[in-house]
Amino acid sequence: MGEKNRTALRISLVAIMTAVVAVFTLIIRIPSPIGGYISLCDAAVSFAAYAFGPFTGLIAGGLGAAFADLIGGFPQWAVISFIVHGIEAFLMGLVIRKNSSSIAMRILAAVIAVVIVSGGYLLLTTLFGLTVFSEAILEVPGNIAQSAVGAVIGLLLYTGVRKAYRSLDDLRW
Amino acid sequence: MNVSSYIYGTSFYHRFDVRPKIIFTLLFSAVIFLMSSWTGFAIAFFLPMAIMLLSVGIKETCRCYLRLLPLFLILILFIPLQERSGYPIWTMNGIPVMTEEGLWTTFRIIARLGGISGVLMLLLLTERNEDIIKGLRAFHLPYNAALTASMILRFIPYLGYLFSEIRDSMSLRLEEGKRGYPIIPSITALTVSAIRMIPCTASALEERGFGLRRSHKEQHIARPEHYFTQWAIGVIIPLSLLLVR
Repeated sequence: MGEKNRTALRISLVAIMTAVVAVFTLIIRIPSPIGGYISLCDAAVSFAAYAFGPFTGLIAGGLGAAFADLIGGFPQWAVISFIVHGIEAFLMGLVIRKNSSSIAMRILAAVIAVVIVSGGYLLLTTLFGLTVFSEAILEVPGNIAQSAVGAVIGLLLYTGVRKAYRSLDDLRW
Repeated sequence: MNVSSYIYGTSFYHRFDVRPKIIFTLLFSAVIFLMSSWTGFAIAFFLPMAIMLLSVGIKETCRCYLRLLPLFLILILFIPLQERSGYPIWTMNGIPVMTEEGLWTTFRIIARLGGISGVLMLLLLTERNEDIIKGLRAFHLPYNAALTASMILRFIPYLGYLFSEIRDSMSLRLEEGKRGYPIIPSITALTVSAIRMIPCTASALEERGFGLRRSHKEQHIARPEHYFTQWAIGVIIPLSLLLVR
């Protein structure tokens, strides 16, 4: 495939995966008592990282979460979501790329997701001055649950999709 | 699934060109972080709210700010209790319940959060998504990035519709009397359908001449009436907040 075709394919891949992440975030939203929400965002972010590697994961994961915040009426979190979910997908993709079939690596990737999401939101919302530490810490249990469940669902999704669409790896870059 | 928050209107803010509007949004969000006085924070909180009221009406304004209300309530409950250093305003059995310091921190965070949310929502309520992308293109957003953003905004409602179709068909498979739908099979089906679209979309881009250079004239966005006045307003208002900071 020529470089021009490859660029068209990359743009399509990033656009569609970003839309998938945004739709996953928007279809199931359980409001949290302090104004945020719990969603399937991390499942899609993990899937993007497992299936397409760190760079597609970084762009699709970060942009998808930010678009969902902008569309869903939480624009003030868009930048923070972009950073947190982008880094989450990038690191998960890096870990999985090293040894994709190892269970230990998959567990490590899930642990990274939990640490980045819960720690990232806690740190950045406080740092950006959008809340205070004592209030941001209330979100941590919800974020831990969301990212841990998301990492497991993402893995199940990856296994299921790979069986249904054999040429999944051809799209990776 | 509706991806656009745009509300049709003919208000002065609707008539603003998208470019000064983007600058206004970015400058306003940045200036809020430089505020340090009660007056400055009050203006930062109420100015977007006032423009929103004039542009999209009371119903939409309430809808936007009601989303933030639970967060504001938690902040009001927690921060004064946590920040108990400084001059006490309210004491109970000699223990300070609320101090000036605590009240100031609460006010500062609520004003910052409300101001940033308000000004961002204002942009999304008064400008179509495609026009925002066009505006960003005018600020030299690369063509591929703008194309990707446009495609994302096209695919989100389509995938949302596809998911509702999948969910309905999955719920028909359940035993009689059971409600809901199986989540994992539904999202797997959605993901497979989405991934199958990738090669077709890439081919469609090629068919439509992706990669061909467009002339500068074609990319030009027309300047509306009072364009320079709009620029001045978009820049002067956020920067004048610094005078009361």
